[in-house]
Amino acid sequence: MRRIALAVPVLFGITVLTFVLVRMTPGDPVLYLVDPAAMSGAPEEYIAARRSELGLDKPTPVQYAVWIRELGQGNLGYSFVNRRPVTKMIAERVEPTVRLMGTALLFALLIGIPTGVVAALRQYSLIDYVVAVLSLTVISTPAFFLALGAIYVFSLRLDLTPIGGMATIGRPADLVDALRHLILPAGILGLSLTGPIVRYTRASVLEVLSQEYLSTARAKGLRERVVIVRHALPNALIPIISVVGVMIPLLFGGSVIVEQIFSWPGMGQLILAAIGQRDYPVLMGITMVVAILVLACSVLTDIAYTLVDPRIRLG
Amino acid sequence: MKHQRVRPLALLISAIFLVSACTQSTVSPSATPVPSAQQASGGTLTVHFPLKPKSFNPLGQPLSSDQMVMTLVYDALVALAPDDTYESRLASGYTVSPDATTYTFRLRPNVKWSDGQPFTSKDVAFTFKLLMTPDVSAHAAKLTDVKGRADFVAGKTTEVTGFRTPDTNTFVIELERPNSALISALSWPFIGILPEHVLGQVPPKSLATHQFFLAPTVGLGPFKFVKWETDQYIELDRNPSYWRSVSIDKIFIREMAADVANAALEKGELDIAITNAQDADRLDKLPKVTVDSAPNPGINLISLANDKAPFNDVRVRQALLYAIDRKGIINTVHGGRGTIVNTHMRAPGTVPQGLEAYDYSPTKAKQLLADAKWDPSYVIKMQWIKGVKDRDQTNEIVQANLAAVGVKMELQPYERGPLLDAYRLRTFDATAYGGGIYTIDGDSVTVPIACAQAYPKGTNITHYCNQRVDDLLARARSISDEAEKKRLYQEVAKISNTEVTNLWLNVADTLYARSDRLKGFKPYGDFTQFLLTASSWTLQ
Repeated sequence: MRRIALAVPVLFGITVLTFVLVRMTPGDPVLYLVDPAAMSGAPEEYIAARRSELGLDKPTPVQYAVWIRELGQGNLGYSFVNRRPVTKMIAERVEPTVRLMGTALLFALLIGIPTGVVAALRQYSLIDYVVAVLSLTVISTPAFFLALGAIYVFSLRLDLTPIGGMATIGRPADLVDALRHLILPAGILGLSLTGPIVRYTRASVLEVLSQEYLSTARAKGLRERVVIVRHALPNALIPIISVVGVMIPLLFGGSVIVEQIFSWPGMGQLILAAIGQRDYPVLMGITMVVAILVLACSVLTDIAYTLVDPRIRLG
Repeated sequence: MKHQRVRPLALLISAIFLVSACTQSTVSPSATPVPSAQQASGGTLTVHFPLKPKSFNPLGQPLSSDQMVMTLVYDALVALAPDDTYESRLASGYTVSPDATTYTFRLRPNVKWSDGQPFTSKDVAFTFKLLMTPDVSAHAAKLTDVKGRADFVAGKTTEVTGFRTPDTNTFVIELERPNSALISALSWPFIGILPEHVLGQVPPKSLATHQFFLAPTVGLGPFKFVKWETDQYIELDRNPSYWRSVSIDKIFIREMAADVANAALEKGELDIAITNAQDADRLDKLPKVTVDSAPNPGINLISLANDKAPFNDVRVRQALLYAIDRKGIINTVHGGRGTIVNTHMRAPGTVPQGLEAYDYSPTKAKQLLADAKWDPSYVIKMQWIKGVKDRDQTNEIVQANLAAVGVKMELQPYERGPLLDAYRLRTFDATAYGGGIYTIDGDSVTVPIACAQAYPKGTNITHYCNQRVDDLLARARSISDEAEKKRLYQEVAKISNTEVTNLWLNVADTLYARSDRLKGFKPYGDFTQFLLTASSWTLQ
């Protein structure tokens, strides 16, 4: 409870900081909408009218006060670019984002954890080295390269998957079609997480394996399988929880590139466009959502800890 | 205890499943079934968007992708044709009085809006009044000469004496002073006529943010707006009440990254995309893809801050132009698909013989730099928006060319906003961009080189200012004698050539890669207009 209460002032601090930072970014948002240097030109009155329409003719503290007041009423404002409600713009991204990131995370956990465990149990074996090389390769290869490579191989050469989008346009929705569109972007995004998860799992399992209580367990005459599965693994997985907690916000970063390449209409594309166009309300809205998510993840991670490890109690 | 231990992970996994499962039922709510009967007739065309659209407001300043959609859902009185002429569209024709003060547009009879309402000259007058209002329209400067404008803009009257609608099929514009370049101004960018019966009650000031422009479902264009799935596609259906017959049933305009679009073309998921020289040759070799091209009506150029030292010295600008291997750039960057120009003037008959060709000559460049006492420690800041492959590569070549004559140039990629700030504050030295429509009317060079157009008032980024040029352009605008106009424009062309108003690099071809099943396609030099002929395309 105390942790949740603490999150409120943190969130407030984040709003002030982002509001100021966003406005300190060079580039006038009005000139992103109306460019006097464009061939068609634009009269000064027109530019001034747009500026006042967006409330940008007021001092920054006033703009912030207006924003906070609206936020209190659940209104995140309207996009500078197309005047759509920011809440609606974010809401329509939630489903595609969850679909992409959820699948990616699941993919990363299902592959990463077992691989990490095997690598630890067979330390310095051929499997361990292969896993080490593969996971380092995945960690150090940029996502856009993997994505373009995957499109080339799976979409163009093998003709197994479509090139982009969430569904075949102009066709009725169906699950198989949705999965065919999902597999490459989710796979690539998931792969970028798999590497770190493998490395963390391996390190964590190795550390647990060297603990004395395992020797005790063995000394009691327990079979090796029981020692590993009942005693070593559950303890080794505790640190993984916090890794996953940290990764969920990181997924947003990775999704920016993956969404761009696979034309996936998620939050990442919205972030990128909003930054590029200096769409302040959208940027603020997304920051709020991500900040809440990060805080929620950290609170949930703490709670998960207490569930996994009875020694930990939240004060 | 052991149950408790596995629970959190299981919880997390099942939570993801749950969320996915909850959302699974709404998989692609956007996708709509296409009746098979429709597919058999005109077919579905899939077009690539080069960048995300903003909104579809003919009164605003359009992005290229906004223009693409607007040319499909709206129609204009007059627009550009692929062969660099004007095409009468909603106007079946127009006449200009000999003194270039009265323009009479005869509108096509029996044209209907896509909702079945009749289209009349009142709709045109409604649109033009909005177009003239400075705080509502980005194009107000096009109509500054119209009679009664001042009173209307000042709010003294709601009528404009210079816009007359003698009958439902005639629209007349009367000007206070002659302007023979009005048709040129009205035909680009494409200005769609708006429905008075839909927007007539909306206060003009709130039009810029009106939701109609995110889904303009009532229009006069060959296609009807169906929906916009943000970051995915825009769907359009054939407009059965269009004034010409249209073959294609449906158009999807898809957003995707350029590299991915090439792959989609190869796979048949896209029918047409704008492409570049680097990809064109490879795409052209694909079995079912053809590459078409048309010379760009604009110019790829470098603009210098002509108003400040050292660039206010004509010899410096000439030297830099001599120093750049422009033919080399066309060959390396544009695959040989382009030509060199040596003046801003490009309209037919306006480029005189005997202009300096500025052929690549490091020797001449060095001589001119020596004459101008060039300071070799000066570093030219090249600030441009990175991301267009051709331009990025060109800048690297220019940098190397200049280094060869002892001129240092630093490449500084900028974002649009800060770059515009640099134009305004005059902190930039050089910038690279391209565009414009210079191939039809000589008056179009007013925008980049006239004194009154100095940024941010207008689009003269160099702040080049020569009263003689301004006088010549103003005179040409005020007369309708074509021969005399051309003579005046030739004089402007000569001054622009001698004074090197900009560093003109080339006119590159605009390239389109399209599926062979698309027939009747005509390449436009200006890619923002290329869908204007979509009403006459067919799919096999």
